[in-house]
Amino acid sequence: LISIEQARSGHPVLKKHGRFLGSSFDPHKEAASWADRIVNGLGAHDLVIVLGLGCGYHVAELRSRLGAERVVVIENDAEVVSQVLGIFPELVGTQIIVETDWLNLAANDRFRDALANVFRIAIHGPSCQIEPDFFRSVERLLIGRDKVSFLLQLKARPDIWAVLDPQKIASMPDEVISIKTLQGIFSASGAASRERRIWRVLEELVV
Amino acid sequence: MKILVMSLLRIGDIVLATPVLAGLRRKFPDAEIHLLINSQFRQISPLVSGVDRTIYFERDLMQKGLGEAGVPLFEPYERLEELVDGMEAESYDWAINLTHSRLSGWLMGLVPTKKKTGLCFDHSGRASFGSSWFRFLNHQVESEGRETFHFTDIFRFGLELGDAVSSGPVLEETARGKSEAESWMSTNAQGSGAQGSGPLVAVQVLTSDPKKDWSLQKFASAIESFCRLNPSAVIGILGAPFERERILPFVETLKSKGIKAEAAILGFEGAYSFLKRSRLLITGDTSIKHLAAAAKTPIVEISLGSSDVYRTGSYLHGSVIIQSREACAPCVHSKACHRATHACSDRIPADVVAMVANEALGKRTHQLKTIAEEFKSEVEILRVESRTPGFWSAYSVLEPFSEESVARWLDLACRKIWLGSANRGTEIRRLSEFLRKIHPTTSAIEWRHLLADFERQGQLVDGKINGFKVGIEYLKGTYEDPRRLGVFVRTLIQFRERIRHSALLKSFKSSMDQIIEDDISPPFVRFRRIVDAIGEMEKRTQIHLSLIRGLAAEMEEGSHEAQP
Repeated sequence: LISIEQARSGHPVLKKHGRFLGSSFDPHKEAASWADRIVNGLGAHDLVIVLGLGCGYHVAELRSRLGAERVVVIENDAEVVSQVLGIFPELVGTQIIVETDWLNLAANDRFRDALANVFRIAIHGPSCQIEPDFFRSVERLLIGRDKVSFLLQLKARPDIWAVLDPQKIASMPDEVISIKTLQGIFSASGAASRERRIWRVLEELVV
Repeated sequence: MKILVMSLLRIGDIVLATPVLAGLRRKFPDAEIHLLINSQFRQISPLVSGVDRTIYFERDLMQKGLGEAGVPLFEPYERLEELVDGMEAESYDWAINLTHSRLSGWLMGLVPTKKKTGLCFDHSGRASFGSSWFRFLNHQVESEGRETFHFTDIFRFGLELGDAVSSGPVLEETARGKSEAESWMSTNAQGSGAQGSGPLVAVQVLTSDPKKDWSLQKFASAIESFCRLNPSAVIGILGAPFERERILPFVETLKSKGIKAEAAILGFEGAYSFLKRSRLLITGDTSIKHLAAAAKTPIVEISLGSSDVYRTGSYLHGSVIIQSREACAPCVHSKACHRATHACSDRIPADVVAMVANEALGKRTHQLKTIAEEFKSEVEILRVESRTPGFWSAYSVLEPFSEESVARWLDLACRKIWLGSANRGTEIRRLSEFLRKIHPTTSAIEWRHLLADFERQGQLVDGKINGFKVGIEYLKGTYEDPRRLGVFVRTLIQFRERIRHSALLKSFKSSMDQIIEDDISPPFVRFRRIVDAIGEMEKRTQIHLSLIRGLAAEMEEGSHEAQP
């Protein structure tokens, strides 16, 4: 299913299900401009969670701009990972989370650690086109604005979970969750908590 | 000692906080001072001296995270938590909030420190201020009019920095700014004479708020008239890089009229250095006016829309403020102009600005009265005085010798003593000197009559307060009886009606309003508030009376000295 081809620029590029996972012209150049776009406006300590390892060029570009510790990759195909690491031995040591079912991500320690940071979601287009359902679900989970994703995200944040009212959470609507929804689900005992007071500051930012 | 200073509003407010930073540095030379500001104003940081670390509040990123569906829900939370973690790790000894917004109040509550000054909300949302001055600021934000203190003064009095604080903004020129300004000077000196004989006059034509903008057409006419009076002047039209597209055509318009004008599109550091090299700044209500105050460059400020000169006017002695007499000005900051035309802007004639700027450039003041007289139906011309009275003040150059005028200054001096930042003797001396300065032709007999009348009013209140105190004693055990409390409140209403029209006592009216109109609070709370308000009035009346008597003695003495 996965083969290694050569792009016109001479760089190796992966092909999966007959589709290229990077530019067939110049994957290196394409990855550089993609990485520039992602890095633009990023906070000094923000993490980037990349959806899709692709051929690894874009991850290598991001690593060179941000450092390995600020890049986390989510991939659902272990074979892609082994092929890429064969092409790019320098990517060994990159935080790559391999899960075939997005629902298992919430139980993954490395994923939870990543969630506890300020992060930007960076979508690798070719990977997402080949596996749209998986990556769309992961994106939804990372955004956390529907009930299931929100609950999964809370698993990674026990400090917030502890100050919420379980009954109010249960009666939350399934539709888009916003800061206004959150205002109403803190427990009475959590009203004085540090977490609630941080939300209070954020509430003042809502115009 | 580690101190955190929060200034979470705009650039102008950060500049207004600089006297505090300088005062803290002077009072605590070994302290580590951190400054928290909004990240979108980070360009001001290089100019602010005496700060060991500047921390940025990522307001834009957090706001974006809260509002956009594609951004992770917890992103703003994590971002803010990271900031809070950082502040916790610093273990500050003192946190100072100069912002006075709900946001800063909640944030202040998250800073773990023993000493906090400025608005702070505890977990239940209860506000504390840590200083009577900052509590006063809380009431002042709501009130309108001239009976207020400049924010810079409230900060320096509230933090007990006293004379250790410089009187105006303090900024430090940077090498980058210097080179930017000098490069402008050298480019535009060729042919325009900026480094030649003509004075460089900076003009800031745009503001951040359309309500505060004077029309470009009027600016052009004013500059044209000004250049007729000062043909050698070189006009630098100041603007930020993002304003380039509006500034350049305007400069071309001026050039087509034969005016020596050039666009000065500069960053903040460059703008400050440019102002240091200018002889005058003509501006609306902008942060640039505060930079000019720091550069000690004379300022002519055009106050329009919601511009609140009495709280945030340029803190530079001798500055001139031109304020529209339009009935709706100043308006509310958060609301758009409700008029069909920008009436307050339309009302200010271009010639007034040109003539006032001409006076300011020549460091003259004697014509200001004549100009103000001629255009008194359109504008009010105010002069900034920050030396004599011991606090920032702005008064009309046509200030009449009236009960209202004298009462305003007397009441401000009284508040300053009451809030615990002044010595009575010093205030009396400063006040008498200041009043003589703004009313130089008033005779001793006029002072005697006015002050005697004030003393009578003060004594009347004093007597009334004694009556109220007796009433309070009687109420102590019976305030839960609504009939008795009602009877007492009726006597307060009668008293409020008596003082309503008194210039001297009208400031008591607002505290009386609060206790009279509070019919929601439980009886005990209401009773406590009445006791506190009466106590405050008693103290302030005593101060009023001692100021009036001291002032009367000073004025008598002054009149004897004036006699041959």
